[in-house]
Amino acid sequence: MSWGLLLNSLVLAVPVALAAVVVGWFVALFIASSRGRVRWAALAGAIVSLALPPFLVVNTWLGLLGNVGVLKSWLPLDIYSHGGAAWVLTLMLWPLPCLMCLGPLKRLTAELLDAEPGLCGMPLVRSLLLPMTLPAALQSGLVVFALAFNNIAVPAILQVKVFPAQFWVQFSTSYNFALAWQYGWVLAALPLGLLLLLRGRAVAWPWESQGIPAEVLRERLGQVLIGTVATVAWLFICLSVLLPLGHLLFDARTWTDILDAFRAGQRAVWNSFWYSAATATLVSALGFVAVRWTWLRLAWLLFFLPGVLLGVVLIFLLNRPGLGWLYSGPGIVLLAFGLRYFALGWEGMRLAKASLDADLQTVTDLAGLPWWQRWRHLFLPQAGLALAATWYVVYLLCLWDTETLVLVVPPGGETLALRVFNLLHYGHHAQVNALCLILLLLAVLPLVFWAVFRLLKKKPTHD
Amino acid sequence: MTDRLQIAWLIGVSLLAGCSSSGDSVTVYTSQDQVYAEPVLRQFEEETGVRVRAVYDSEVVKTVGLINRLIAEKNHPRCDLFWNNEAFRTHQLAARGVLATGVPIESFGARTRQWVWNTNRLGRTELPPSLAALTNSQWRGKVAIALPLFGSTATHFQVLRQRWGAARWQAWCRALLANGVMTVDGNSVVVQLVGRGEVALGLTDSDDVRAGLRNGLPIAGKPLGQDGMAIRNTIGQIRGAPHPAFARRLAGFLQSSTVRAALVEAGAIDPDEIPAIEVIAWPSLVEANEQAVSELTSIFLN
Repeated sequence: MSWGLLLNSLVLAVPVALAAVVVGWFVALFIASSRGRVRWAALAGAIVSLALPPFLVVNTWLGLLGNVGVLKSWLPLDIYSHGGAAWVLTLMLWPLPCLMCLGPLKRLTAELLDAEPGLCGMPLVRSLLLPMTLPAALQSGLVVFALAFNNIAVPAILQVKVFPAQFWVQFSTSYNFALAWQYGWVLAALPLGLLLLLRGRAVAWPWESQGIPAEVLRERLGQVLIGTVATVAWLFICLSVLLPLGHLLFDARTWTDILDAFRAGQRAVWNSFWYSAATATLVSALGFVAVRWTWLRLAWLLFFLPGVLLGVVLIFLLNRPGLGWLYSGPGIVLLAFGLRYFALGWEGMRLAKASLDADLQTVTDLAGLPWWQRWRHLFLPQAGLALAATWYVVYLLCLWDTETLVLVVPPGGETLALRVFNLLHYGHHAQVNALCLILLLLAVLPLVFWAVFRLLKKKPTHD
Repeated sequence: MTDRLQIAWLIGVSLLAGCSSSGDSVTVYTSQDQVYAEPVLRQFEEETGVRVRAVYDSEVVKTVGLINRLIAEKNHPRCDLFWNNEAFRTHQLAARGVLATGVPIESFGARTRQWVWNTNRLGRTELPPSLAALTNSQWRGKVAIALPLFGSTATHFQVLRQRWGAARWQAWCRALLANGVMTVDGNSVVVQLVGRGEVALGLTDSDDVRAGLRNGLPIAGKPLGQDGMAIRNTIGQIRGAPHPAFARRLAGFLQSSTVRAALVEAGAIDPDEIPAIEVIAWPSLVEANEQAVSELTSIFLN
């Protein structure tokens, strides 16, 4: 048991959680106090930031502050350090606290503000806004802590020794399951503790409330505070979204290498797409079927567990005679991804079902409609968007995943994400930009299909 | 509810079932850098029409990860051929009965262990005369090596143990550590550190030096001489492999002059093969491996 490594991981995860919550809170306040296009742009920035592949972010900062980084001579900061890893993880994870704090902020009502008409600026923040958002901030902080603690890819690439990465190394060099559990129990205890802490606590999602008009909140916050939150919000949106996308799109190597990268990684491109699409479909379908089984909330344990631990368990269970059809083919990938992200599919389906009109449900019950007709006439029209969003989130997470796959990848089953991870680790940065762009194109592919589908579905009107 | 469950189950099982290989295919596990190995394997596919299903390793665990995967799969192997960019672990597999009996381990191409230095901090004439000199105070805190538990560095250290004897070797390892040597994740990381100027000197492989030079780092490399070793690519055919005929075909292809030329061009192997300093007694090295690893772990990790 390596206490030094455990301390390393804590030293990384705690500052990331604190920083992400602070930044996320500022951006949430900015979104709540903005309106129209500014609000949508900031919200989109937060969502895109969460959706960007981690390699893209890491590669961007390696390009800026790495060995031969563009800014290296002006900013003698070492990206290959705890600070570097914490910075990158903060940039990746602040949208989570932002979205979770936005919900409580949107529950602010005019009556609450009218109760103390003189409460403005910092006193308003201290007395009302902070207490309102504190539970969400704490919840989101715990989630960010767990995700940062269990992250392997970013620390491994930036050569920061952390507990989960060393667990992976130890297992890979010994394939000793008993030894693996000496480390693994810590990695399992963390998400279990998290589940217990968050048990029964509802999350105020932003779409559940309208909130007060932005102008009212802006007036009460004052120009200084609004200016501060706006500066922080736009700074981090730029650093998290525009900088990586700009680095990717404006680097000549992205375009010169893209054809070669595609040719070299054709199989990986196909593997990435169909593993992700198949898992998203499977998870959504099973989540829909099992929506009433509340004990399945335990599946969140598998989401917060490091992917490599799940890989170890699957090797132990499936590397046996008679299971070759599963172990050495794409089946093990779908199983690993499916287990890891089932909780998201289940929770998404649960939220979608909860949003259905109760009266309409009663009507369909009384009419005795079969399940497929309920699906077509009740569920899809009302919750189709939620279903699509759930599918898409699972699809994206599978697309970026390396940790779940790294130990169990079947021969010929390499994905783009794993390919990028290996290339970054070897130091072959040239092709990485091009591969990241291909990954982003794969990410928007379902949206393109959706847009084309809707276009084809539109019936021309005849006079 | 039952209908939904049945349909969901059908979807699940059909998606989970691994595709059995349709058409000719061969499965290769390779520790050769993916950037070098992939074009070679693709060329084999194009020339023969046999699909290659490859598993590559990760830099940080290097060959050891694949070795352990092969050992774990020994009783029901998925792999047909193991292509290693060094020799020791291949011989380890042979000793564990993972490789086909009666089929010798084949080798081709070579890299060498090298000094790598930052040309802004050191000149060629300032290099230490031998590895033993690294324990001198002038090199305190100025040297980086890959952690000698993985990859070619592990093999090199164990070869030195065999050459020098355990006692002298252990004393040298301890003196290295006491002299502030930096141990990092891999040979490519050594090159990065040297290139950044964080250390003046490192021990690495010749292909990593070439990769560093291609990336524009201010470095140079030189073989270690008497303390060095040649690191040959080795091929092992797996016992009980699903496709032994294709494995033999791929093994022959990998040793062809075309592949050699391609690997030289890519920088994966040296253009000129330096004669071996001595013949390495692989069986006794493999036998002493556990003891050596235990000593290395206690010195470098504890």
